[in-house]
Amino acid sequence: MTQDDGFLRLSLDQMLSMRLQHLMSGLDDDITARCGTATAISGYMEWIGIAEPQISLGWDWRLETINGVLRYVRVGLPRSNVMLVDDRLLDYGWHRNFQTLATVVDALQWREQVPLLIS
Amino acid sequence: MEYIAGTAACLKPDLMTGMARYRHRVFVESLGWELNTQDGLELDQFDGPDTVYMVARDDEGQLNGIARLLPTTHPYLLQEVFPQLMGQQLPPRQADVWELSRFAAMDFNERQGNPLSQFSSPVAVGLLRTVLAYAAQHGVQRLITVSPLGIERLLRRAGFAAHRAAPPVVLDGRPLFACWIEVQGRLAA
Repeated sequence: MTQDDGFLRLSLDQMLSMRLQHLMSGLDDDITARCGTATAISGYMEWIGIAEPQISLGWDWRLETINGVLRYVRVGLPRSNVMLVDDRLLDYGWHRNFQTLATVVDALQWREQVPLLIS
Repeated sequence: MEYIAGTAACLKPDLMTGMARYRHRVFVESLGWELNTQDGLELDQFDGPDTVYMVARDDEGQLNGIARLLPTTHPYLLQEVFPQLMGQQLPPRQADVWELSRFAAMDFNERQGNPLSQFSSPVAVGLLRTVLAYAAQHGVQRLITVSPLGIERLLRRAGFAAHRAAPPVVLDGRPLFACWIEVQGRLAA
């Protein structure tokens, strides 16, 4: 259901049942890089729902070294056209919505795909 | 910094001409958009008598930011040219929803500003906050705008309540999306 604010209203269960697929991704320009200094590798990723209503989920990521292991990590909160609603169909609200969607992003199998998508 | 708002009827002719020239410099000369222009001025079919402009001028009176606002009850850019960015939804047609277009904040005098950071510079953030305040004074609940995908990141980082209407679409090699920006109400930042 879409209201005047343009958000699709979904319960968390509905959101979790959605099949998502990669739409597009890209690398950021490394504006901080100087010759001989460490470079930063970061970018964005966009996924969409396969079924209707078509949900959109995008987020930023960067490559970090954690305990000596290279790992892609989400940066900040995701961006989406989804507003989650509770059992009483009340909105989660801005911050809770995107924080919860961030946990959805973290559960997706996106990290393994980054090297393939940006190569 | 000085912000001036109004329709073409109430803005001084030299300011209107300066705004159209500034738009040409930003969107045609800097960003390379293929727009119909004449004599170095950029105006289109959405520059009508009901179109509201917001112009930012620095302390020396030089333009360093512009924005165009149009109620969605009139024909507007997203509705007429980019309706596919709304996904399965119809473009809004409400008196309390205005379209924001031709937003730019480049300082040509100081050679600062990057057209790709049009929403992230201090001038851009100040201009957008002024646009939102002006819109709120006129009963607007939210803005909608056609934007490059990266703009949503910049808006959110700057603290604006902005979100996409539908998945982004690649047009002419550039991912674009329809972006909602909350003006007032429970979602506004």
